[in-house]
This record gives sequence, structure tokens and C-alpha cells, in this order.
Amino acid sequence: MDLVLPEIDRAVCNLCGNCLAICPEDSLYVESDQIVFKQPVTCTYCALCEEACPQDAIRCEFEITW
Amino acid sequence: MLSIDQVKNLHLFSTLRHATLQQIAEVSVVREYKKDAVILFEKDEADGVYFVLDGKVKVYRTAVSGREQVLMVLQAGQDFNLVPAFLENCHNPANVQAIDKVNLLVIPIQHFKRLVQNNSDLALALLENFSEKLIHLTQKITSISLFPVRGRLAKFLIEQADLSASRSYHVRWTQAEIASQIGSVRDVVGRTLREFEKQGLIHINRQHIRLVNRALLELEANLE
Repeated sequence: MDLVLPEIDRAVCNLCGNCLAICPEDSLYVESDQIVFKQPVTCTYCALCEEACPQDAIRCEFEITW
Repeated sequence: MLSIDQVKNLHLFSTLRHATLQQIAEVSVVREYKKDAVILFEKDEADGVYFVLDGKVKVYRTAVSGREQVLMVLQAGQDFNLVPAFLENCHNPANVQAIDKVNLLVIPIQHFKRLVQNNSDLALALLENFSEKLIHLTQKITSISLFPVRGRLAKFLIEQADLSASRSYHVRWTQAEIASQIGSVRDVVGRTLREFEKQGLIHINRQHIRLVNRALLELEANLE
């Protein structure tokens, strides 16, 4: 099964770097003027990148169940 | 023209006489909107009253800062933008956006006013509808003003988990969307979710928030 990662809207991202700075796993980096996942497997989907994004360019979706 | 049955399926019209339903069907039009399309902008001149035939819409207001407060999520059978039909300035009181593809029944304001003037069953149904909305908004204001974010978030999680158990499709929420539902902001929701997890109330595992302690969550939500 594919690893689910935060969705990054690259058309909206302004490369401010807040998500890179806050990521506790150091999973993100900039490549060719785009934020990408360096090692996707290290991303824990903690959603701190979504919280830190001033452009609302990152989406982490959760289903809520019992 | 819409069928009488289609009109009668709408909550506001469900108790009306056949003759009134017939008049409504004659002046109604159906409009289709794509997912995410903005249907109404707050403060624009109101052109009609709207009813959801299928799909879902959200009714929301936006602050100058860009912060969004969702007032209601409406689905098939429910209505919006009734209030401007009875006010002098006739402006939309809130924004409305399609959550998924929607079909709406629309009645131009002048036609709707005339229908209410001529049909006492519709006028009574409308009073009942406005009373229900008044109660809903009073409860929302009470929740925002009296309960802390922890309580509002706990209540939201319980409601959504209960709904999830009763439906066959998946609904996923971002922290920003949860925040707009409970009158908070994204980072506060994120912080509170992490507190809940540390305290053993929920378990978060990629795209999945699982509620593990109903009793404690209900205590937080003041529902016990």
C-alpha cells in the first residue's frame, strides 16, 4: 500500500521554509524550487507542517472514528 | 418543471398542501454547481432562496484576517438564504460553497414572497423553520462562549465518530476545517489533539483519529 503523505499544493506554496523548519523528522527539503519529501518513510503524518504553513498549501486529512 | 414529490421532499415544504406545492413547483428552477464552487457571496444582492436537492454545501462567514467560521453544513432537503427575502436591503447574510457536486432548487425572491403572502401553510412552516434556526444558533453561541476549546473539540470528535459509524462513506477533516467548525484556529486544534493523545483520550495514526475513551471525552465535552 502506498504511504499516505501530507498533500502539498505546489501552486500555492511560496517556499517560505516553515514546514522544513518545524518537521521533527527532517522529512522535507527543497528541490528544483519545490518542497518534496526527502525520505517519505520518515514522515509520521504529525500535521505540524500543515499547522506551520502560512499559505494553507499543506493538507493533512483525518477520518474520525471510534 | 419539478415534480410535486421533489418539492415535498424538501424539509420546509414537507407539510404543505398540494395546491401550495404545485405553485412552488411552477416558479422553481434547478441549478447545478460543481464541487468547491462558491454559490453565494456574503453581502451580494440576494437573488433567491435556495434548497439542497442533493449534495452538500457549507454556509460560512470570513473575517478580514481570512479566518473562516462555518455556521452550518447543509445536505439534501435543507435550505439557505431565506432571511433576505424578508429584509429591506436583500443581501446574502453569509457565503455558501458546494462541498461536493450539488443540485439546488432556487425560487426568485419576489416569487417566494408572493407564495408566503398567499399561502398560510407556507407562512407557518417558515415560522417553524426560523425558530429551529434560532435555537441552533443560540446553541452555537452558547458553545463558543461558555465552553473552552477542549470541550468543543471533544464534542466535535464524538459527533463525527458517531456519524462515521452510521454512514457507509468516508469523511476526512483537516485541522483547519475542524477549527472552523468549532470556532478556533488550526494550531490550537493541533495542540489540543496532541494533548488528547498524550492523555489517552484518542489515538492518532496517519489519516485516522480513533477515539478510545468515550467517558473522558464526554466529560471534556460536558455531555455526561
